[in-house]
Amino acid sequence: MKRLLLLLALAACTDTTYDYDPATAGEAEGGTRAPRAKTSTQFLRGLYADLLGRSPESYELTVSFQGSPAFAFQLDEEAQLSGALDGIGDSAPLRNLVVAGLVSSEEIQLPEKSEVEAAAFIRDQFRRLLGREPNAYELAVFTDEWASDPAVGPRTIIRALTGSREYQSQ
Amino acid sequence: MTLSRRNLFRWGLAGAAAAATTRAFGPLIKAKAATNGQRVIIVGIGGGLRLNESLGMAEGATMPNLFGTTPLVTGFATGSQGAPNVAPEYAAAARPLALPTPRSTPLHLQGTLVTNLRYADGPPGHLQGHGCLLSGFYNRLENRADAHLPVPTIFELHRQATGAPATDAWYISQIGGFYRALIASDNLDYGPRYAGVYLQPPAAMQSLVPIITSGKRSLTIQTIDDLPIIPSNPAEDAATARLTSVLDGNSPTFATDDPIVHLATEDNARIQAHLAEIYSDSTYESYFPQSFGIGTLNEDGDIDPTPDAQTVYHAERVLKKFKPSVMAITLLDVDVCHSDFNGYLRGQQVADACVNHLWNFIQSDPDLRDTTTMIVLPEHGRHLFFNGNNPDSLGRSGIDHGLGDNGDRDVWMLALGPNIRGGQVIAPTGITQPGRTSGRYETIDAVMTAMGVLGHGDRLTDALEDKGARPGLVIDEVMA
Repeated sequence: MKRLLLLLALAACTDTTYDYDPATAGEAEGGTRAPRAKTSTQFLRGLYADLLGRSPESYELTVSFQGSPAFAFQLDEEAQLSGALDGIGDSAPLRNLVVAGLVSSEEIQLPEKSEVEAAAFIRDQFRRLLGREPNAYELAVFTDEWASDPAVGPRTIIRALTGSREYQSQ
Repeated sequence: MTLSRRNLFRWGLAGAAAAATTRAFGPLIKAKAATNGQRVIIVGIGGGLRLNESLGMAEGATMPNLFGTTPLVTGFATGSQGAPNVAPEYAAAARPLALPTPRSTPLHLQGTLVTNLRYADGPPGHLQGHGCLLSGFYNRLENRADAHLPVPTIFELHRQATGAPATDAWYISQIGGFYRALIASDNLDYGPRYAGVYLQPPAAMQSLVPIITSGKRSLTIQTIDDLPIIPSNPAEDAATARLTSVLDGNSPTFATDDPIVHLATEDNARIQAHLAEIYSDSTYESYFPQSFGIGTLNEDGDIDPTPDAQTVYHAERVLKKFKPSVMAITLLDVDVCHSDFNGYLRGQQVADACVNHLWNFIQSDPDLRDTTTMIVLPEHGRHLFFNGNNPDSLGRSGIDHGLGDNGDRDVWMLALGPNIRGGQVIAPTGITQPGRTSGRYETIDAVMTAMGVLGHGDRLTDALEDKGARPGLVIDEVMA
């Protein structure tokens, strides 16, 4: 029956000419579409993948108090953190603090500033986090800051890149 | 605070249930050039609060700090009232409330209480009710996350008129979700570029955030210093901000119709510094200190905050830090009334204590005391009938809202501050305006009065009339 209906439909079209607009899926290369911000969950999933190499997880947090087991409860990283981020209209400040917490965490082993060569580390992080090479200006500024400001090191580079509009955009 | 097993994570867990200055950023900049130096706080007791129980004291004196113990409207109770009439089986099972001793002289005697305010139009729903409190516009907003008001909010009006930064206009809400969209309208002359700062303390201020970001899956706590924090490093923060600005200088700005509000870099830097103070506090007192004194008592005798208490505590922190010109606060504990009438009575006690705490806080700050007008009102009421949910031994049950009967629409307004006449309890009638059928002052008038204090009354009128809406009236009777 279906086949019959299809044949009838095709037959009905034979005397009609249709024009179609060109397909416009996606953005043209170099297009100027203004970016949109990642949602909280998009940001967290990307951040966890980029910094920790894993997805946010749900796990049991165990707590010992003064030498004896106290309690344990289930913790869902994505639900908890996205809930907190959504508790602020523009969550950028709290996103920055989440990154500040993660880059200081036990789970990330960042090298000491003295252990890495600045330009190489900066290039690596641009590629890893932004998916591109730094342009000459960016590289110059970042390496200059690295050399002149003791506060600029691996943590700062990662925090700056993940805090950028480029990283925060979909 | 005594460190104990139970109190370690109570605030974090409360947040879980709800959800599922550094110099690095430069000095605090107060763009006050175009403001008139006045401040306004609108406290919306969200969730629906009836005249019967609040001013009428039909179930005892549920709001003694605001209204004392003698009914202020007739028809519900007479004579001096005692504690709220909580059903005995409920009182036996529920955690006791932690409430400071009520003030000896009720707050309403310091200001003007309008006992017959009318929420005259629009559905008595939470989003619509609060949309009205934030705009002076009776609305029929859809309950959607992307539903914005068509008229500017009080935050947008203030910022456009004065050029003030976003941190001069705050919306502190107990509840999230759709309420987040109330921070900015989709009005073309205003919109997100003039949005205020939206903050939902029960969600955003939770100690589980540093625990999660620490990467620890087991915590061994010996002393309070063992609690995870997010380290605060002003020098690193400053360097990070400089480098980020290099990147942002080379990338396009976010789309103007992006559903996420984007504040200015300077605003976000100040907000980040504020949050960093909280998340780097190893005592966890910054999430909610015992000294606030309002909440429920746990088995250890410590105070667990209710969402309203946590909201008002953080509103006070924002007031202290930013001294904003405009703040709106949404409370919502009383909304348990849908299925918990006794919880509704207790929620009123908490709201009452929180408003009193907030007013005392304002009076203790020399900058705020002489410049702050506070207007307190329910977003709407509740039905005149019980819904049968969770009946108690006193024959009472839950009460809904939304159908628009007189219980839903008869509310009140308490105004306090240096611009407000003191010692008045009034119920004006014969109020006329084209389109006004209530003959009374209305919820939209409370908003117009507040905007009038800030000098934005004409702007609000223009914005509403542009959309064909009836603007509120300034309630002259409350003004000093």
